[in-house]
Amino acid sequence: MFDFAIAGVTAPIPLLIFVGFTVGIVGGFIGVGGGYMVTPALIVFGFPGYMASGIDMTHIAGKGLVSTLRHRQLGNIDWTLALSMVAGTMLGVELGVRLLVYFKKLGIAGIVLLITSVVVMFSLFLYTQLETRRAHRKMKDLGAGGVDPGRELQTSSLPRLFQSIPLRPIVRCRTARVVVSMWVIVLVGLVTGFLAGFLGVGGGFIRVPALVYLVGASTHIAVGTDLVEIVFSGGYGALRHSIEGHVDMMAVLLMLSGALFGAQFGSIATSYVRGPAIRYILSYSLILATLGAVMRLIYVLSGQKAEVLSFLAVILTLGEMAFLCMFILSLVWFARRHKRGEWVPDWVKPLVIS
Amino acid sequence: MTAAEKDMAVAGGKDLPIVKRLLNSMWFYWMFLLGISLGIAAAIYLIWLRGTV
Repeated sequence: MFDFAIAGVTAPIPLLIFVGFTVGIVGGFIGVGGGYMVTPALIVFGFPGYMASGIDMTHIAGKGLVSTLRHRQLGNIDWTLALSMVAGTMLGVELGVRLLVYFKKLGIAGIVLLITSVVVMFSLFLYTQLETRRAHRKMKDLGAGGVDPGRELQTSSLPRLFQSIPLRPIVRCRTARVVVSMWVIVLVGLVTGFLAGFLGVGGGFIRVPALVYLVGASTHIAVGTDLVEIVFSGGYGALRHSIEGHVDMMAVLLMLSGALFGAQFGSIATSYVRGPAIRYILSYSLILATLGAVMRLIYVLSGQKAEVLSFLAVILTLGEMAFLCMFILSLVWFARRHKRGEWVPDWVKPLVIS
Repeated sequence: MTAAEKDMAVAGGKDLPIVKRLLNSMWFYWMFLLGISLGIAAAIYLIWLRGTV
């Protein structure tokens, strides 16, 4: 146990490092900050809500930078896409925060927030899961026919629709190999930023599917590009929270000591798998986060009396991180075995790069 | 047995030992179970440290 003087709480050091490490792996792999996992975990450890957000945001800024540098080395960042989106994202976040303030004045912010996050996350989970299963099957068929499916395959028809919008200026994103109207990129940034600002999260779990399914970027590029956005938004959030005094640097440093290793591992792990594997992990993380939000919703609706829910919340919050982390580690392990020509489960073959 | 036949045997799962068959079909559930077990362990660790979750 460590006494965090600024936050005024005592929390276990191993669990903080564990959270940093696991969320680092997951964040580097699926291109999210992981705020929807870290903030509830910190609250579970006893940190007050505002401190949890501040610590989470500051640690995301540091971890995001490490993941971004790794993804840059791996060639997963499209700078044109990233920088075009920043303007839309910032405007969207501002609009989202204003709507949140409006709901706060009405006194219904808590319930609206939880219902919106459940609806958004569950819809994203459903679409990602269904599309990825289709892509997985198609990759399996291609592999069975002796055709190498390459690193990416997605079956959604939405990117073609959005890429055909003829509004000038048209942007050529060379790394992502996408030619699309800049207004589409700005609009994607605006909408995802709006949802992120309204829900009070970084928004990686909305932006990555949006970049894949609307703009048409490959999953690896979406992950790397989204991490650039996270560095900007996380850095700004960290500054704001630090000025407000919502950051306990000791907690941030402890989490970062785990996250710096985890983020590098998670980023490198993307080079072992094909796009659908990343989308699977993203969709699993979405459904688990949805479950957490449903539990909080039940807690609020039951007049904050269901004590057993707080115990279940601890299990789910820490359990989901461990599960996602181990799933990623096992994919890398299977990928290495597959490369060496050793036996791997049948479902793994279409998901890993051989 | 050719490589393609080996693959088919794996896909059918008939000739595989039980461990490989379980890995083939239920890896997700094993990982989930292990993750949740670690979550329970962490919750017990917190209770041991603080007396409450």
